[in-house]
Amino acid sequence: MSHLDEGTLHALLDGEVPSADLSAVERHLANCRECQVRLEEARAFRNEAFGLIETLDEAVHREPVGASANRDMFFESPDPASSLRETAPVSPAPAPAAKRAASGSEQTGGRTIPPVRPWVRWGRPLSWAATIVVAVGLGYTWRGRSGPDQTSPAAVSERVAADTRSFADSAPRDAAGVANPVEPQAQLRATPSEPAAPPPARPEARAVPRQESAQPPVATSSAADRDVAKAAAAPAPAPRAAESPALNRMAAARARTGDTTRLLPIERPIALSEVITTGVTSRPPSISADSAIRLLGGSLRLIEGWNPDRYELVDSTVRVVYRTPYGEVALEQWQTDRAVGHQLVTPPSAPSDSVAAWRSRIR
Amino acid sequence: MTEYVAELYLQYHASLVRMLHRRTGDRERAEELAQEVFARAVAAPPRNPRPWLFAVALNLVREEGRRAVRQGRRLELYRDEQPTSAPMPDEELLREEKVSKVREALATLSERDREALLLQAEGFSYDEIAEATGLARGAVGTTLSRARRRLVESYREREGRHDVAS
Repeated sequence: MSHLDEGTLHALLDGEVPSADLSAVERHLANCRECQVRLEEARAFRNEAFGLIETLDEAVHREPVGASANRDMFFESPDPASSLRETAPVSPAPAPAAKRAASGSEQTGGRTIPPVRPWVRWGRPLSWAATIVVAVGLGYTWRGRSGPDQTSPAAVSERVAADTRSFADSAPRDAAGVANPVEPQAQLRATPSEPAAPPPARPEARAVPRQESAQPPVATSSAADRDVAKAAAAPAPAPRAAESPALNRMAAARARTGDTTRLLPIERPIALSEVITTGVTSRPPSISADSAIRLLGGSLRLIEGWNPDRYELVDSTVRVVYRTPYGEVALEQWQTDRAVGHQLVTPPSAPSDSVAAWRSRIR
Repeated sequence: MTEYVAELYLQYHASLVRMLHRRTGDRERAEELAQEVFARAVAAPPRNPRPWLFAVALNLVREEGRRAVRQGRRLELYRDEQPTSAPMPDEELLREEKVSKVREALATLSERDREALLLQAEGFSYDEIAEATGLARGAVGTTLSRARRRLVESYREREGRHDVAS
């Protein structure tokens, strides 16, 4: 057999050599030092090329305030359907814990937080009209598939009407609990009902219901215990006036019972950070980015420079899933009342140096 | 029908916009093009959706480029990101420089090589790349190998480095 051509070497690296040819290719490779060297060279080009392409996305993630339509895109655009998917998971029988957690997230803010839709800002009538056709149509469809409390005609009509109103309203609506669309970055740092929160201010009240659904998947570290003890010794901050009535009621109820500990801002330490190389195998229900953030008490870790493909909920664990040429990579995150943990799940075929690089970019 | 397109939207929208942003360097345009693609999917739901969606998207990009040339405008494949008013820290400047070099390097590739590369970066199989680009399946590996090498070498030239892959 003559030497392997470069296309075959790349196809081999991509797992795309036809099965009929694979054994011959592998046999040749096992005995040909030259092709082994060329394979490594091809691997280096392949990895570097992929890294360069990813670089183009970094501009998206670090884009300064005011110009981040792309941030909107990944965190908001899929919302007409994905926000509904929380109440109508594709999986026919989601795990009970996942159900609890999902419903908890819905109630956390006392209401369903309407999505911000970047396309309302667009000036092109055709795109705008097409979007309404798609999004309203999709929204209606998804809602029609929702659970028992979602399926009454009145409820559906009301939700569709609400959607239609929100399409027509392009003004920033932070007072109504929706993040300002020109500041999508804020959605990563704070939950939508406190858009102007300064960085140290954790979403105190919202963290409370999370504890009911979050089962500790890992043992918390002693640092976490110290942190909680320290937090418990500090005075409880007053609930913010700008928060929703439901949140205020929740805070007031806790103040009456003297339960102030869990209203404190908790700087959660990392309980676990490791890499698992089994790959992403299952496909649980997707959730919206907003829900992912809320489920984690206001902070969501991402791989810097990458755009998430989707967010998923597995029991109480939020998974941020990315697509790579090696397969899907998931950044799994969870929160207990004392700590937040994360782990990176990577495909078995991913080179270890790539995994190390991805891990170093978790923010 | 809308239910089917809803599924497609959930499944592919983020990936489609990411690819379009990489291709055009313009986030808003990428969003607009993606919306146009899904509007077309509503009108004529595709049977093999992923290659179809991405092929339509890439056609729109190419048509836009041709139109720009016909109208005598300078074709800007990669528009700069919106400038910021605040001064950028050194790290940001370096990153911006790198992004700019990568875009220039990507622009040196042929249209077909670039498309194959961007589709593969979205996890497309060779069969899907062949379907979306019109390449023969057997030519995809060669196309990708050429595209990867060209991208890397072109970038390295811009970095002032001339060493080969090690």
